[in-house]
Amino acid sequence: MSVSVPTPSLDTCAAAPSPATSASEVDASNAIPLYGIFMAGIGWLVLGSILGLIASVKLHAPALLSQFPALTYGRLIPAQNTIFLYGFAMQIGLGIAIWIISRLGRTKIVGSFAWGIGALLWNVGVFIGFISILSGDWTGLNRFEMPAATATPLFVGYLLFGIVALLTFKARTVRDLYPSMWFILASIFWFPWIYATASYLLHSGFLRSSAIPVISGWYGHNFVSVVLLNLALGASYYFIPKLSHRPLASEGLAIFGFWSLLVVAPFGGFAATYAVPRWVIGMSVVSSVLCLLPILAHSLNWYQTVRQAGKSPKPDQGIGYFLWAGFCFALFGILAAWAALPTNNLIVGFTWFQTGLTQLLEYGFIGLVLLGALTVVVPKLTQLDWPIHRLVKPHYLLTVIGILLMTLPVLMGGWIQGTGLADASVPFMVASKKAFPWIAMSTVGILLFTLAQIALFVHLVVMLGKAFINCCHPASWMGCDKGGAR
Amino acid sequence: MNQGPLIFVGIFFTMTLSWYGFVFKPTLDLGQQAPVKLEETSQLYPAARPGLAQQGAEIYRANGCVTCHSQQVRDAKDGSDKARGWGARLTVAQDYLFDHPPQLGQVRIGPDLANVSTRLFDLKNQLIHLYAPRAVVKGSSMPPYPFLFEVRKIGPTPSADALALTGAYAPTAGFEVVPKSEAYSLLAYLSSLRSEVSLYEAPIPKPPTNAVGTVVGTNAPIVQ
Ligand code: HEC
Repeated sequence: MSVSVPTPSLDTCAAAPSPATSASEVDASNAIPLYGIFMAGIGWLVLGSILGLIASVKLHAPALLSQFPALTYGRLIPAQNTIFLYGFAMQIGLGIAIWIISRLGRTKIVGSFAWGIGALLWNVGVFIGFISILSGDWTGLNRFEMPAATATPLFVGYLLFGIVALLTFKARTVRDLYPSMWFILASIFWFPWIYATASYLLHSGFLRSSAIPVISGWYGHNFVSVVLLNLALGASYYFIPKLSHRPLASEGLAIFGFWSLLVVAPFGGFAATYAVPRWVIGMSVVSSVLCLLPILAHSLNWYQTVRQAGKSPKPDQGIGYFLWAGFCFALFGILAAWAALPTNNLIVGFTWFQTGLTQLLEYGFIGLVLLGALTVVVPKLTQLDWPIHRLVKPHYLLTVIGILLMTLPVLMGGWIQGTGLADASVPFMVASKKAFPWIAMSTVGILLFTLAQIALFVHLVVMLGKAFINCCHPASWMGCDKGGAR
Repeated sequence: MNQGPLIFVGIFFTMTLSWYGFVFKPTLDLGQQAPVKLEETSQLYPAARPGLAQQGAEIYRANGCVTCHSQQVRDAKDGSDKARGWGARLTVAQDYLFDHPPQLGQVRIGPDLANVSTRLFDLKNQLIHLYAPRAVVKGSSMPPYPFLFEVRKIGPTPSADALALTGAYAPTAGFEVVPKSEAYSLLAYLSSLRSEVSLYEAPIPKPPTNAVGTVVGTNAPIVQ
């Protein structure tokens, strides 16, 4: 069965007024809070990537900047991680999510003001977290790096986001629930649970240490593989049919993928951990293997969507982000399932391969989808084309090439390192050094990726200036000269 | 699927399932764990770390040593850890009962440190390693930690604690490099990392193999 995204093409000014809120009205009403979030999110992404770049260079030249404690490798990495996940992915993910909710439901954001306050609190939280990590005050827990002081601003900020999203969802004038909505709803419900649980148990300090790795691992895995992943899935299900001008190939596959992922994925995250109870590891191995099914179901669904009905109509340009993201997603699923099997984990456990896998999911799928969505949504918000045409394609190319270079060589290097490490007669450093040429390639990848995001940030600033001039020009007050919308 | 409430209930159900499995149950099971009496010595294991090592653990956490070093030893069937002399047995939850937070780690850019104290033969040299890893291990990719040390003018009598640095790593003439208290506490922490006692859930096979102390292919700093 095939369903199409129930939004009409963009209304033009001349179109007859429709009873429901028109798409461009929806966009205009949401423009200011969303634009703020997008700028902040990309700003964080640039900062995080620069920190990651410095860290990566330091692997090759450890003495570089070593006199500054704030820039020691072991602080840059958690800072980069936090900034990418909380500053960029969660923030832009929620922004795209509420845009999709209001677009699909044909309604304006209910409570823009609360949304703005929420965004402010969230960013204050991330900022405090970032400063704390660089000054050494971090939890030591992966994906839960920020100290206790950030929990309140983050949580309250998120609650405002979530409530506004739900109110907007309730206010929808189109009752049909297109698949994107399910994913987004799942994500929005999931986060407060896991974040409240983790904050309470991990920050309060009364939890026995022996349980900490399980709780923090559970949180970190659920945050990325359920919350952020579902935001990205929701966006993919919206934009792939939309940009390819084809109906979604199969709603059945989407339903299957949705539920099976929700049941199976939350039990993952410990396939490459050893010092936790056996049954936790066992369930994670099963989870990683079973996750392959929903992942392939989704990827296949998108592939078939794009492939159907031959070569015309030609898909819009932004589709490339999503297709590469789909590729990374499928590859991630296959490699994660492969790596979870004990015989393979013997080789790739604790190696760069693990880093490569994580980045394939975080950057290759989630990041790429969100960046693709952003480049499509922003022109609709401002009702202007991207002002610097020459930046559009390079951003796409640099981002994709950067991400491929950041991930594939790391996976390869990790595997080579692992085959060396598995043989105890090969000295540790000899095995490790074999990975370094590959790691150097990933440093280049991070550089390209960083350059692309700096360009995007500049572009957003220029766009904002243009939109400002446009809106303050007397002719625009009539609201009828906003050309260029795609 | 057009039923909002149905979707909500489904999401809630899957959420609860995972919460029960990976939060509620482990908190109950592991949350009960207490030090155990060892068979041979009838000492309690683990013992809380001495104060200085406790402070060192904070330095270890703050500077993210965990981004490069794991503290979990795998079984022989899961990897070469034992053969490398990184530990005599698998690491289990009991081992990190007093670590807040446990620093298990995920990636080994450097060697596993769960039992590093068994390989720290020369503490002075270990301090040099922290100040300038490449002064000890050629081409090491471990970052130097000069901010844990003080470079100061040599007084009337040179400090007994000054690092014996040579060549490119030596300070300019008339100066000496002296560890700050942070460096000492970090060293105390590293010296406390050892989990080679036989536990019920992770026994060390008897008679003891010669695994302890054999340093096969690790990078235990060697005085050059
Ligand atoms: C960028 C990754 C990295 C970081 C961060 C790092 N190390 Fe290392 N470490 C290494 C590498 C690589 C080696 C092996 C080469 C060597 O001995 O210098 C090593 C070796 C060691 C050794 C010797 C291990 C043995 O088996 O003999 C100790 C002890 C050590 N590191 C402690 C630390 C401490 C303490 C910190 C945090 C303050 C730290 N490391 C941070 C990469 C790192």
